[in-house]
Amino acid sequence: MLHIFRNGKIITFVLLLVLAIGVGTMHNRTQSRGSSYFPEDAVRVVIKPFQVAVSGIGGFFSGIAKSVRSHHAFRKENDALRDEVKRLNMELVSIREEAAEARRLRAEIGLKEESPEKLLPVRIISRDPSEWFVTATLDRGRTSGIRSGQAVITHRGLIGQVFEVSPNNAQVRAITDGSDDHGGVGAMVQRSRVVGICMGQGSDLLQLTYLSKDADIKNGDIIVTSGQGGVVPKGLPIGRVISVKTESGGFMKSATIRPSVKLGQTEEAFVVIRKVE
Amino acid sequence: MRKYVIPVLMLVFAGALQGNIPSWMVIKGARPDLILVVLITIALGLDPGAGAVLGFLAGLIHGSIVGVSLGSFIASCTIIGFAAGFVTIRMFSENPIVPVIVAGVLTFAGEIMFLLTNPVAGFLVSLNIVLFKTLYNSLLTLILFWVIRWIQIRRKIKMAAARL
Repeated sequence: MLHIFRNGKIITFVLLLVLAIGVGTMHNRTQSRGSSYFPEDAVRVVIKPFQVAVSGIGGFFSGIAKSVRSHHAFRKENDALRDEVKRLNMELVSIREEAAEARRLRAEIGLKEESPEKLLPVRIISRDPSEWFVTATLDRGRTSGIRSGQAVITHRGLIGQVFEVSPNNAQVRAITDGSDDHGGVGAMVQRSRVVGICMGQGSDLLQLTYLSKDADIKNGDIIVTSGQGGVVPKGLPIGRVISVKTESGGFMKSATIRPSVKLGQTEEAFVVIRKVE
Repeated sequence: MRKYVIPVLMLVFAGALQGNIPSWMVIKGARPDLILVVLITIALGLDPGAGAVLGFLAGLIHGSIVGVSLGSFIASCTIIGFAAGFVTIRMFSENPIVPVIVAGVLTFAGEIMFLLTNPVAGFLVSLNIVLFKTLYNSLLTLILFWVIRWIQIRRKIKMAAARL
């Protein structure tokens, strides 16, 4: 039995396993504080130039593939986009009017003005590196003002939240991530204002849970963030309801949501810079 | 120390590629694990101790890119690196069937080990993904093994020619 301990290779192996447990424990501790662990920072500093290069080359080739599409398809898309711009401009004018009115009314009844949010543009340099977690790496970090808990969005809606920040990188966990330590996002039905919690399932779909049995929700409803908890801003699109079911026991309802943004197909995004408690 | 430089660079490059795998390469939810493929292929040419060290570094790289469960990534890769190195001293690894089988067995075992420490919902779905990943990694290991062998043969021919 003792001869095993005289074998240097086995001793190295056992020591490395003990070190792995130590590193894992330290990592969990630092992550629960929202900061990054220094060995991870070191690896990310080394790997970032490679990630930027590979992501750039990938983007270049997908750009070529897109431009190879037929001229007709582009013209059709261009016409559709022109119409969309006209429609959105009209909508913008009325939204600005309503926002101004809301500000005036808030001031009249003495409500505190919400702090304005800043959108920081970021590039996603690595995404979905494992089947078991839906995470991504951003090309900017603490030095750019990113903090743990901040929301990551595109013009189409919410992608996820920052969960770990290094000086020059940040890790994002997508709302579709189904791992145990992901608590979900406060959400509501835009039409009826019914609130619930949107949870990832590890697949491409989301689950809206904790809805009362008589909640007003139906297929096609748009789901937005509720802003509850004060971490993720209110009103960001999450997705659309594709099915509603009553849970066993009949006391609760839940809905399956198709997210409006897919992390795997996103190259650029914005981090919502706001104070996070 | 010098023997780790090129393998580590290969692992770093595999890590950068791992985070940019195009969606058309994802089959039934499974994507190739390039870091594991590089680790197994290289560790087959090392002794178990060196394989474990390389596995530790591979796990650190993979865990840092994912940002979650760093300890589980390091532990499973260390075991895989050690096992791959162990195979080299026990079996004849020049035969391309050996790395393919080793990659398959170690990917399957490594993923099951990882899932045991990080339980995810839907065991059957996860098992399906693991099986596809096992096939993917075995195939890629065969390709990488041939590439490495081709480079080694070319180098030997050049060295022989230089001696002449």
